[in-house]
Amino acid sequence: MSEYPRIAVCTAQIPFEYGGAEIHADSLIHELKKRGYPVEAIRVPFRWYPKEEVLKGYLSWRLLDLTESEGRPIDIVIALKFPSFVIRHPHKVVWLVQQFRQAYELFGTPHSHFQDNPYDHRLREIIRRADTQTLAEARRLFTTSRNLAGRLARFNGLQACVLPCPPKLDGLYHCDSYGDYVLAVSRLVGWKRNHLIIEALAYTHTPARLLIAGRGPELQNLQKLASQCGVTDRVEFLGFVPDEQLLDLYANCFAVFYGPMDEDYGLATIEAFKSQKPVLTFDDSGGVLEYVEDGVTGYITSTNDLHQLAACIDRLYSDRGLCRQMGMAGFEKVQPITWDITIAQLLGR
Amino acid sequence: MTTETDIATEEVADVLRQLKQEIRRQHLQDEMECAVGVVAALIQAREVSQVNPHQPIAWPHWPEGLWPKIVALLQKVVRRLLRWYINPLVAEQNRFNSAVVTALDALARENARLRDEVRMLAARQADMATAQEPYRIRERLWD
Amino acid sequence: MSRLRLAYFTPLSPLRTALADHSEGLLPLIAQEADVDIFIDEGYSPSNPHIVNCLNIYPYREFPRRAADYDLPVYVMGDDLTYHDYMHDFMRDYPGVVVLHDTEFQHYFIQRTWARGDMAAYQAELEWAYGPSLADAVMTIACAGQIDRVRGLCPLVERLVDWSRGVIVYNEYARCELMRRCPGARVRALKYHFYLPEGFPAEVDVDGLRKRWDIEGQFIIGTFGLFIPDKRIDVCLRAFKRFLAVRPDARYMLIGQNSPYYDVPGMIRDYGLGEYVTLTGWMDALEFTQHLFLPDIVIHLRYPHIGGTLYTPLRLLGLGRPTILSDIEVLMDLPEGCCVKIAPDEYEEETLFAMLCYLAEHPDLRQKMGENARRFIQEHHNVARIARQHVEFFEEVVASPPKPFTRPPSQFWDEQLVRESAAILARWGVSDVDDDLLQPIADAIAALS
Repeated sequence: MSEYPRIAVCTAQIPFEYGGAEIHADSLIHELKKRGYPVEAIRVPFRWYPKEEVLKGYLSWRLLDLTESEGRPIDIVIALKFPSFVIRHPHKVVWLVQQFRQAYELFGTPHSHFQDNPYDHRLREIIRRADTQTLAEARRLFTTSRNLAGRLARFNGLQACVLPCPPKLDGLYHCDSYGDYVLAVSRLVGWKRNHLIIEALAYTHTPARLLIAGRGPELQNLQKLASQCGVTDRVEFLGFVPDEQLLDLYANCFAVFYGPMDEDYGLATIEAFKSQKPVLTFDDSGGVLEYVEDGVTGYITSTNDLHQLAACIDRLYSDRGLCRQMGMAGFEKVQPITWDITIAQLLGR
Repeated sequence: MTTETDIATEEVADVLRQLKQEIRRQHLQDEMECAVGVVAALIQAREVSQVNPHQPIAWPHWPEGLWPKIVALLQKVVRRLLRWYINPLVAEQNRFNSAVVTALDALARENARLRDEVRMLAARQADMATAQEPYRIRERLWD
Repeated sequence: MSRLRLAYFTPLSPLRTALADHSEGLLPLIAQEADVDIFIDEGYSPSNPHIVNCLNIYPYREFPRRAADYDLPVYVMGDDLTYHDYMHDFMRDYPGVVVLHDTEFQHYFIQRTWARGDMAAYQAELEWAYGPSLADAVMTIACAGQIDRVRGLCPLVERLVDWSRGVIVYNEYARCELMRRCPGARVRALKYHFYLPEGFPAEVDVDGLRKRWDIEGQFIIGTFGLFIPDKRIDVCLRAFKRFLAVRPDARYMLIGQNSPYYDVPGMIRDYGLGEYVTLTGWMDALEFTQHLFLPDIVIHLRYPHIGGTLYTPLRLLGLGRPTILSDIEVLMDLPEGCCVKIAPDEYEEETLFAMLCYLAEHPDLRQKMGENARRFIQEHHNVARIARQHVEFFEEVVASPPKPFTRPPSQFWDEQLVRESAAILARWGVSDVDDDLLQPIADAIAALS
């Protein structure tokens, strides 16, 4: 293989949606190009509903031939998100950022559209088998978090190395001050649980504010909730935020809230620590807990007791020195997460 | 009159039938490859399961040159002197290898028996739908 | 419609094969509806007077000269090369209907190729049927002398089916197995007919038979046929030995011929049953059938099987004999009210012993079973109807174009797409009954074409 192998980065694309997985893919492509690798993005739309579409989506990827293009070989394929890792290639690397969670651990919860009937059980089993077989073909299998690696081991019997994803703007994060607001950055969907920080804000005794950056279907519900909790004047919905503004927001908050339900990774956590800010999260937030240490790099509270979260907000607001101390501890933790190291691992160099 | 819809429906039905046929064929091929492959692998494993502690040195021909000959002679002497140590190790390894191959063989046979049993149960299940009711005796022999 | 002209390739009496018996029972009735000429191997003279006097019999070498005179050749095939080798090349050169009495042909092909010094031909057969990698694996197993370990997995029946224009089998299991392996083939499952040999007396002198074997007044257990390891005589003998403690007046008659590869006399000696077990040796069809009335209970175990319907159980049930059979797929069509079935599992001997004891104590049950069996066979295994069904199938085959099951590599992209998609889906566990899952994919592929 040449010093600069031709690389195809494969990911599934939900049209008109742009979230963590999409940022992950774009960042990788950008960083590979920056380092001189010829790289192409291969995106195939995927729809997980109705359920009949799922198998078609898997089959589409499997039928693709990415071994060569225009008579020249494609040396490496890096697959990121389901079901792109189903692709066949002699040098397949999987850096798993998302599995089809609805078919796995979310089954039986309101977040899964799979029901307890024979058809759905069959489809789930086929998905599991397809995932297991095709992931096992990878020369190198990585996940972005221990959480996801644990699920792979539990449901698919596969061992993966944990390779955290550096944030998109790695190298540009900085800390200017510890201001008067908590920052929340995420898509506005139910399982990101931004509604809980809004509720907790109502219990605080300090005038801490909350800035929420991101778009999503839950926006109106959250605005209504803020009004019901009487914190409209302290909560600001920023919508989509350009990169420069996002860096500033991170640079000047006193803490970052990120409390999704059993998240696989949680890029916002890394961004917060790169900006030397402590993180507020919940004890069931999944991959976030691999970085947040209660009382050291942030606070971990229970979703059942929002007063606890409110008390943590107050504590941090009242003690900016504590914010700095925790932020620095978080920064130390994420220093090794860089694109140089990540790309070397992916390419086996 | 055959409409375009009829033709399209027929085409889909034809593709579906071919898909099912090919899937059946593939399942059969996979089943055969798995079952036969295991037996073949076990046979090959048994053939190489015994390690020979006596590896040839300078045999059937001595190496060219004086120095290589001297080295080969020394190796032969060392080999003889170390027999007391090497042979028991190899014997132990061979016992282990035999035990493992035997166990795997037993597992393969049991697997084959279970496969037969599953096939039998499936056939019985299919047959239950067409049971010859008038001929079933009332008295169960084991009641 | 003019009568069908059939060239029938089959072994005949006095050859010691049940297939001869089977053909001789069917052919006279087939000959009532079609013109039948028989082609036989060299080296013997047919001895059944009914066949000899009513039908034309020719040596097989005459067939190429006469081939144009026939609408359809019919090949009665079993797994013993001794009786079927002569028709092998004709099946290839003059495709017809193959009547398969077995579905396992590994030993047949090994005898035909490797045993004659042509290992490459055996390998070629394996490769044709299963592809190179599976063929290599089977060769490894065959070279180690363990080919029986893959019995049922690689039966080598595909070639015979591919040559044929149609196939007849005699049980539903065999039909399903063939359809699984040869999806495009024309396979018909018919019943094995029940008939009695020519000259069978209206009343069998059972007392006379018992006197002949010096077993008057005893309780007789019997097993019939050719004694090979699959008949599980060792299990039967051990169960019988335990049964002797319950019924000291019991005797065990092994009525038939012992295979040289199975030391039944040695087993009888080892179990100390020399005084209680009799091995009769081979008998002709008439004498053999009369002996079916001798035992009070018949045991007929068979495991593993090679896909063929067992002829002797049909005869036993047709004569109303209380019979214990192995619970195997090829006997699935026989309901349990007509016989007792025991599973060939680790409890087989125990179950057999329990059944012998129970049946011995309940003569009324034995009688009821026998009546059920006789009625069932009469209704479902009627020889005239079955002969008619044979002829109907022959007519259907003659009227239709040949349907080979082996398809050449597809030239059509949509067929290739179907094959590739199916291979992927099968590996993921999708089965052919997952209509809900397959329908959208079929829609998508059909929409492309």
